[in-house]
Amino acid sequence: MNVADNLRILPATSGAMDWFPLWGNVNVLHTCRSIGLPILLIASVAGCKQPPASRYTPDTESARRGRDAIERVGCAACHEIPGIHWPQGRTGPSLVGFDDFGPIAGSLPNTPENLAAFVRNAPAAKPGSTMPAMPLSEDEARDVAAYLYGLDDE
Amino acid sequence: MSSASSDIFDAWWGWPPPVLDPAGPYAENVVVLAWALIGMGVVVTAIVVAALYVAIKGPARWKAKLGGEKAVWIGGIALPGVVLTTLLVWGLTLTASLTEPVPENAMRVRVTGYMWWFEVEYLDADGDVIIRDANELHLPVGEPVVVELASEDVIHSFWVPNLSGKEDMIPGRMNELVIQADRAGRYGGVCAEYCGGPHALMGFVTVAHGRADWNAWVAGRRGSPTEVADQDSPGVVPAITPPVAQETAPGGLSGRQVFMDSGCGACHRVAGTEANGLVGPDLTHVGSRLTLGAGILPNNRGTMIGWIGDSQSIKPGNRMPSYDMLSAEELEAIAIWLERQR
Repeated sequence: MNVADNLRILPATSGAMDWFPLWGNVNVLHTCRSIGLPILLIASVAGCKQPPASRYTPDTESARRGRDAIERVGCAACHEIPGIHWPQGRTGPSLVGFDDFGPIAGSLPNTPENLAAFVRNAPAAKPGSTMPAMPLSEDEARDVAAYLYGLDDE
Repeated sequence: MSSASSDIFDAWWGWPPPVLDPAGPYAENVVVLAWALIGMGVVVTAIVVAALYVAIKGPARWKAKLGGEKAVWIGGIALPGVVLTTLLVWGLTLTASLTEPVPENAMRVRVTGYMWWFEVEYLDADGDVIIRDANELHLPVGEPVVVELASEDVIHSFWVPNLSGKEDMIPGRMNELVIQADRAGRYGGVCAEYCGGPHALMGFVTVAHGRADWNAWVAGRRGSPTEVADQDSPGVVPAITPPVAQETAPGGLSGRQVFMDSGCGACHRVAGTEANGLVGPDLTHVGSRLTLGAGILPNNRGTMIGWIGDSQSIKPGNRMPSYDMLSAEELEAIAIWLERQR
C-alpha cells in the first residue's frame, strides 16, 4: 500500500471538507507533487489531500469541459446539479434526474440541441423563462448540455 | 481534471490562491522563509529517522556512540541550539520588512473584516475615505500599498498569499500590512482565521493594474457613480454581456423600486439613491465586481438572482436572509438594476 492510499483512508481527510470548493481544486496539490513525496506527506498532514472523486465521471471530453463551464459561470448558484459539490442553490429547480423525464423547462422537447440553446439563452429558447441568458459561448453551451445530458442518476 | 482546472483557475478569480508563488517583494520573503523551514524540517526528520535506524538496527559500536553523553551534548543541545537560533535570527530579519514603516506617501487602504465579507475603503492623504468598495482590492503595479486592517466583529485574518504574509484583523485595533504586486493580474485572498460558520466562504479578489489602467480605474470610481437610473435608461452596459441579455425587467417592473420596497437599502448602500445601509457590502459599483458573496461566485445575472433569492443555500449562515418571498420577475428586476450599478 503506498503513501497516498494510506492518506485517503484516514477519517480526518475524507468527507469532512468535501463541500468546500477550495479542496475540490488541485493547485495546492500541484505544489505538493512538485516537491516530492516526503513533502507531500508532511503537507498532507497539514491539509493537502486528493480531491474527492466525483460520483459522476463525465464520459466525454465535451462533458468534462461542460462541467468546468458550469463551475465557471456558477449554474449551481440556482440549481442542484449532480456532480457539483458546492453550491447547491435552490432558487431554480434541482436538475437531478431531469434528463430522464419530461420536457426541458416544462415546454421544450428534451433533446441535447434544445438543452444547449436553453442554457445559453433561456428567454429566447422559451419565452417567459425565469432563467436569464448566461455568459456561455455556443461551444460551451453544447458542452454544458453534454454534461447535463450525460448524467446518470443512481 | 488538472489541466481543465487550471484553465478555470486562469479565467476565474484566483481561487485557491497558490501559496508558494510570490508576485511581490513582501510575499517573496515569506516564501523564502517557508522553503527554508520546510527544508530544515526535511533535514531534521531525515537525521532523526537515520538515528532511529541506527539505534534499532545499527552495529553495536554505533549504538554505543549514539547513546553516549557526547552525542547528547552535540546532537541534542549544541546542534539544535545553533540551528534554531540561526533560523530565528535570520527569519526575523527576513520578515522585518513586512512591518517596517513604509514611505509616508504610500497609498493607504482600510480593509475591515465582517462576518463574512471584507469592506474596502481607499483613503486619501488625510485619511478620509474616497472610494468605498467590498470584497475586491485594486492596486497599482509595483508600488507598496499600506493596508490598514480592522474588524467589525470577531477576529478575522487578511491573507493574499501572492502578495504578503497574513495579518489578523482584530476588533478595536488597527494592524498594518504592506503589500505590493509586481505583475498585473488577479490574486485570490482568503480569511485565514476561523471566524464562524461561513469562514471558509469569506474570500476576496485583489486586482493589480498597470499604471494607465489604474488611473482609469480610480477616475471611474471617484467620479459620480455611473448612471444609477432605472432600467429604461439607455446606453448602460450590463456587467457581463450574455448572448442576448434582456435589457428590461419582465412585466415592466422597476428593479430599483423592488430593491427599495424589499428593504435592501436597510443594509446596503447604493450611492445616489436613498439606499444608505452600512451593515452589508456597499453596492454602488456591484455591477463591475468580479464576484458575488465575498469572492465565492462569478458575478453574472444568473448568480445574482440565485444569491438574492436564496443566499442561505449558497453560503449557509451568512447575514443576508434569503429573499425567497420575491417572485421570479422581482428577483430578475433587481438583478438587472444591480448589474447596472457600475
